[in-house]
Amino acid sequence: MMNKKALLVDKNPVNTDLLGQALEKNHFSCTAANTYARLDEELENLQEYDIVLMDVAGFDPAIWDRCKKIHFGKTPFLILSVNPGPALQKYSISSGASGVVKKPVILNELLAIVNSMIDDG
Amino acid sequence: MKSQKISSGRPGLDEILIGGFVPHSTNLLRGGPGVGKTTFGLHFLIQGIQQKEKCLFITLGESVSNIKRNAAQLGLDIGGIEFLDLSPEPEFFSKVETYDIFTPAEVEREPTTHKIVEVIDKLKPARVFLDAITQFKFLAVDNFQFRKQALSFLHYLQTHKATVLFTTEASQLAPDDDLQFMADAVLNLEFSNHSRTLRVSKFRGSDYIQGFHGYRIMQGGIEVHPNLVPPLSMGKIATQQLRFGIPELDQQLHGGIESATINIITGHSGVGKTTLCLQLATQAAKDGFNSILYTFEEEAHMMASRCKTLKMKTGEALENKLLSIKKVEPLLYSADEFAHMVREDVKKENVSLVIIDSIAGYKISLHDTDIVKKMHALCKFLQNNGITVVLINEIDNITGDFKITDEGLSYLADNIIFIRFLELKGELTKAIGVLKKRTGSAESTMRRLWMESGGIHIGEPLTQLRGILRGIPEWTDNDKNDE
Repeated sequence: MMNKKALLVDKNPVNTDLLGQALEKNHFSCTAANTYARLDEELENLQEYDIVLMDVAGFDPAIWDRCKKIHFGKTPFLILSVNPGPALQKYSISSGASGVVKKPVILNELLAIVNSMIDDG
Repeated sequence: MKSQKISSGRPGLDEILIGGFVPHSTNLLRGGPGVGKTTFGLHFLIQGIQQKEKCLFITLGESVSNIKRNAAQLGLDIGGIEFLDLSPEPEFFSKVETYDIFTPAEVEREPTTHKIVEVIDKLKPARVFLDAITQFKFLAVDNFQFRKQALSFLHYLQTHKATVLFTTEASQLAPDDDLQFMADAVLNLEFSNHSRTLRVSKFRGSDYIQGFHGYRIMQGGIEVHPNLVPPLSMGKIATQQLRFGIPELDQQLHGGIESATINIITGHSGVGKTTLCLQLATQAAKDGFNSILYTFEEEAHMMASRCKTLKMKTGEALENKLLSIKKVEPLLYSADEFAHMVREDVKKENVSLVIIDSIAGYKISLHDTDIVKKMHALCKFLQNNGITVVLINEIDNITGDFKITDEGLSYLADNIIFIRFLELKGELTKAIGVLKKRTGSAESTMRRLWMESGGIHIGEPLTQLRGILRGIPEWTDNDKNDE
């Protein structure tokens, strides 16, 4: 079975490690980006990724520009947030996100959403 | 056939549990912070090590280094105990190793379970102490899952032939009621009203001693003081008399007080109650009986010095170790601790006579608990073991109507001797009488009592006076006329 590629964006490396380990057990190959520099580097190769999972906590508003870039690159992406209030949902959707998932996530539910997004894409 | 119990490592707790824990059972130790749950657990494991058993301490809160340091401070040798440290490491904080992407249940349950299973399979411990199982709550998505996981974990340990002691950290927000249902035994530890108490509320498959039992955490660990339960019958106890060695008083008592009786010597402050008791103990020593006097108030050396002034032979009894005077600071001891001390002393020193000076001092050590109940248990325990008990009671009111005790303890006494001040022809003097003698007869008249450098003296019966118990006696009519 071919591994699907996921870009995991999160300021907290523990989060990207844990999420990466969980996805890798489910046939994903993951790359973590914990800084803008690393994210920008990976955005150059955006077409390699099947999905981007983005936790915006800790990033400044410039993160929404990166979100738009991902959207224009036609790669599906999800926003992860502890507190997905109306403002965050509005920014997320207007930046092209497929949806907002509340943290902590339940792995099976996240996998179901991610797989269906990739299949639809 | 009954299987042998598993010692808890504390003799007092084993006594409460009628021998200890049931083999391969799960036992819950619950209580707030600082009540000594971990120390109880260490005693449980140390006992196992002494019996050459494999023992495992699973810690989910306190780090192993902290546990070892605290054990060393208490003087506990925990060598041989295996530790499984599941507490958060310091790096967790310094490296900001926190996460919020998944719930702890999602991330940590599997590795934690794996570590426990690995150690249990490898070590095959006979005893497991788990501190605290409530930490597993954070590894479960909901209460139902937690209950299921905890129950299955405890069963897992049982099937591996381990006897388990586990703790909970219950709070109003996170009660541990569900765990109480799961456990075979529930031991509740509390710290209130200046004392620590232990109460067993559940013990499947065994009897136990009910009620609140005192315990103390000290250098060397925990000492548990079970409630005294007097034996139901006295068995065969030889009845003999203990004399005061003052012919007139022994005559008043028709020979003395019978052994294995409870006696109250009551009277005003300074009337000579303690000195009279010391005379009883001195004479008992001469007759070959061992005595202990517990003093809550006066220092032992002051008592000895007073006896010397009165030319009593108390010094000899003390030197020959036939009499011990023990000073007890009531603020430092609970009633259960005091009872435990008395019980150990009488066992060690083969004591025949125990004097408690006084009921008021003993009451201070009770910290508001029921004095009648505690005193009843202690006195009956001693009596049913063939020991004579003398309680010294101080009456507050110098004048007015006579009262035996302020505490309602007179029902307990087989014999009551009272001493009181009385005013006779403008002179303050003392009179002694026997108010009650359940085990035999006694003189019904009072006699004058005085103490001077020559010793304790008792006069002839005061047959010409009436109203002595009111403190203001009058001559009877016949004698008035004679006068």
